[in-house]
Amino acid sequence: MKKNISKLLILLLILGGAVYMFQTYSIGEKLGRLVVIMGNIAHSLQNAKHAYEDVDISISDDELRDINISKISREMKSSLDKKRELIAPKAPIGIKADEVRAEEMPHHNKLEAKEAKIVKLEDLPEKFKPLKKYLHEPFRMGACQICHDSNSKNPGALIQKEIQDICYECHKTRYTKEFDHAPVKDGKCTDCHDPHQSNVKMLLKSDSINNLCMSCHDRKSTSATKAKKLFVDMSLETKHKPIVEKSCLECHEAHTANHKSLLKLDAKMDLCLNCHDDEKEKITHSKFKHGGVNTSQKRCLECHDPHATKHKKLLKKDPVATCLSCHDKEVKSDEDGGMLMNMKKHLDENPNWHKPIKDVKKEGGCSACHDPHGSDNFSILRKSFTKNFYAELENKDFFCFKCHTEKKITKQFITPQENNITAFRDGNVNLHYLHVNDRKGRSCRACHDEHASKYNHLIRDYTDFNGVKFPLRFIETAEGGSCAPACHKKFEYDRVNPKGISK
Amino acid sequence: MRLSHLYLRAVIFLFISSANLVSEDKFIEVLTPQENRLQTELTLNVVVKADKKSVDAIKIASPLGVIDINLDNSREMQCKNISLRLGENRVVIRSYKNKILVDEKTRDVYVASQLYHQFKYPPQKYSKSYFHNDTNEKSCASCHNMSVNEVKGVAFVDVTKSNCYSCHKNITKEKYAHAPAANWLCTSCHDKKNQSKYLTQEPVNGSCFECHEENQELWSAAKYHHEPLDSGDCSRCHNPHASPYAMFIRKEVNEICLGCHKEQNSRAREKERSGCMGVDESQKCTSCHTPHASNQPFFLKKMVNKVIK
Repeated sequence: MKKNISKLLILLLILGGAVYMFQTYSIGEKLGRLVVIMGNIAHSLQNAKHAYEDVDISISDDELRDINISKISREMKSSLDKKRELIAPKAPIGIKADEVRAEEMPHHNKLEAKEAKIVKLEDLPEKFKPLKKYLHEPFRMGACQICHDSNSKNPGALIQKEIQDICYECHKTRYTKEFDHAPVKDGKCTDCHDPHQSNVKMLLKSDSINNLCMSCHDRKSTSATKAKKLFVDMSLETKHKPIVEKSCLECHEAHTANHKSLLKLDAKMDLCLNCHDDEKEKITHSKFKHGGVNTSQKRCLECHDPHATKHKKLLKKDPVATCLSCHDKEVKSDEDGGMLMNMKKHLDENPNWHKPIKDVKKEGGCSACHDPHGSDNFSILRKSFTKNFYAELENKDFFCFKCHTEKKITKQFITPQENNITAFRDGNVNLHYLHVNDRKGRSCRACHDEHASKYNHLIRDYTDFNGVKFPLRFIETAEGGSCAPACHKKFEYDRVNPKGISK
Repeated sequence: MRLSHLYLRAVIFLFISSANLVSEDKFIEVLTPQENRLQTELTLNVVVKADKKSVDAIKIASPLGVIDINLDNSREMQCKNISLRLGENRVVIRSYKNKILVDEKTRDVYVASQLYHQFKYPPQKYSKSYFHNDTNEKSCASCHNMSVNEVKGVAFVDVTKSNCYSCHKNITKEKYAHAPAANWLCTSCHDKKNQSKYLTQEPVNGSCFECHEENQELWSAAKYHHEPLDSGDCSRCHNPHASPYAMFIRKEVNEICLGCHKEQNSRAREKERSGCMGVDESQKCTSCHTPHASNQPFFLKKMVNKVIK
């Protein structure tokens, strides 16, 4: 659109110019000037194509490699200068012009003054042999003098005091975002890169990216004296997949980044959810959200370690301990604004735990029933349950029956062969059925505590009815027991010698 | 019994009685019940202060029998819970010394009931009395903890630990006990303070609907309401503490209904009713009628097309 308008304007100018010329000059003059003007217009149109916006301002490593260093150093210099000219008018986005290090180092004259002197392969010092897989281009071409001072008496003397000054001579306009990797900040390029050759891409000084990173960032290393968070222990059994299958650079930038910890995206959520789509859906769109991930300070990292841990799912602690690290006090619920119970205290006070909590390794702890990332069921449960004391039998599509057989509540009488269905029976009368199979049938939670209890079978000490806590007064005997809750007076049951409980 | 023996007894009696003339209440002093007490519960606490020197046994005679008070000399007051019948009860508290009657106090207690016409309107001399005031409580405090030890919203695991239990335990000793009563959460209803510290609100239904709110919603939406429901007098038919009958009703269903609906009790009606009720002994008023509220006339459970003759 813009182009069209400009073309239209040019045409109008031409037309105006033509009219003006016809009035002022003779025909010969007119034609001569017209040719010149047309030529100028054509030239400017041609140049417009090379407007600054259309040029890639960064020089990639591949591009650098493409530069024919065999015609060192004049050609390389001129080619680089060409690039530099293109770059020079404008600093990279977000960086002040004086920060562009390339600008500070105009070494062309020096290079120009030097005579191109190519060192042949066989003339290289012994320490460089045999040659490795990847060679730094100047090294491969034998152009040692790009970096080294050939006039110095010291072998290996550099043309610049600071190694970074030499590197940035070619690898310009980089490493200038908000956060810099410490070696980058200190100008120690050769801490990670070998300036001559390496068996690893990017001329790394180690056999792999990860090992290079770990040479400094291993928590077990002696250098791990700084802030602990800078160090990781990759010897732990659960490792984050991208690190194992690819490298640290899946999440981190090696040199400079706009996010803390040199991360490619915001560490709290965006970076994680970039890959974990399924959780993203849950975290952002669930009806009931978990404050731990949605409103906490560290978001995903409240529970997970992004590198490696001893525990499944990269949890920082074991599944139950992870949850209890927040639920060791009354926490405000995002669901209804009420207070969630102090689960740690509850578990401490009640020694009989529900199996998923007790058998964490096998059953998975709290997350066996709750989905820590969010759910459409209340209390971020994985499946439906009820908050109510009463629940009609038909509607008892409870999560409980994922593990516990539904026959517990649907079979009125238990035959001796089915005795394992429930121990809560008087002779063959299923007392579960009696309690739940009614218009005012009770829900599981009327009598059972889903988490922990002082009594066997997770029988509650108190049941909440209309805001009043009534004790169940459950007493267990060898073949039965008795209850004296608010609902009825003391009733006894016995599996072997039935006490005659019926409706 | 020989005449001389009788004579001896009479002399002793006269002797003691004459001493009694100086201070009338020397032998026993009745703290409760007060004279001409009116109440609705069928149990009564009798509290007496006995002079330990002149009295060694106390018996309480009521229409339902005679009961001994076990005298505990370590205690200043002696108390006993007795049962009463509906209507007038003459409670006689007799004190003995060496098996000889030395004193006698009489208290008339009327147990009223809204369910029976004859007990609905007590004679004028009776009046309601209230026990739980500071003066009365003080006299019990040497033995009983008169404070409320109930934790709001948490029932007693061992109900005998309730401070109310020791004096009022008999009110829940029935087959069916109402949960707040059986768990001794007394102050959940008895939370009004006036002549006594622990009165219930009037009408009582406000307390009831605090828990039974579903019923309130259901009934208030219905077209026809039974009079006791609208007047808020739930406890007219239900005993909020305990009852031998399910739903804590005070009497058997039919008995309750016919207490007010006397016309249904006539022989003529009986014949009429025999169409449905006579067929099956198990049929009750509530087989066809709903006692609280209904959308059908006559509180019928379902609409009937054919009138039963």
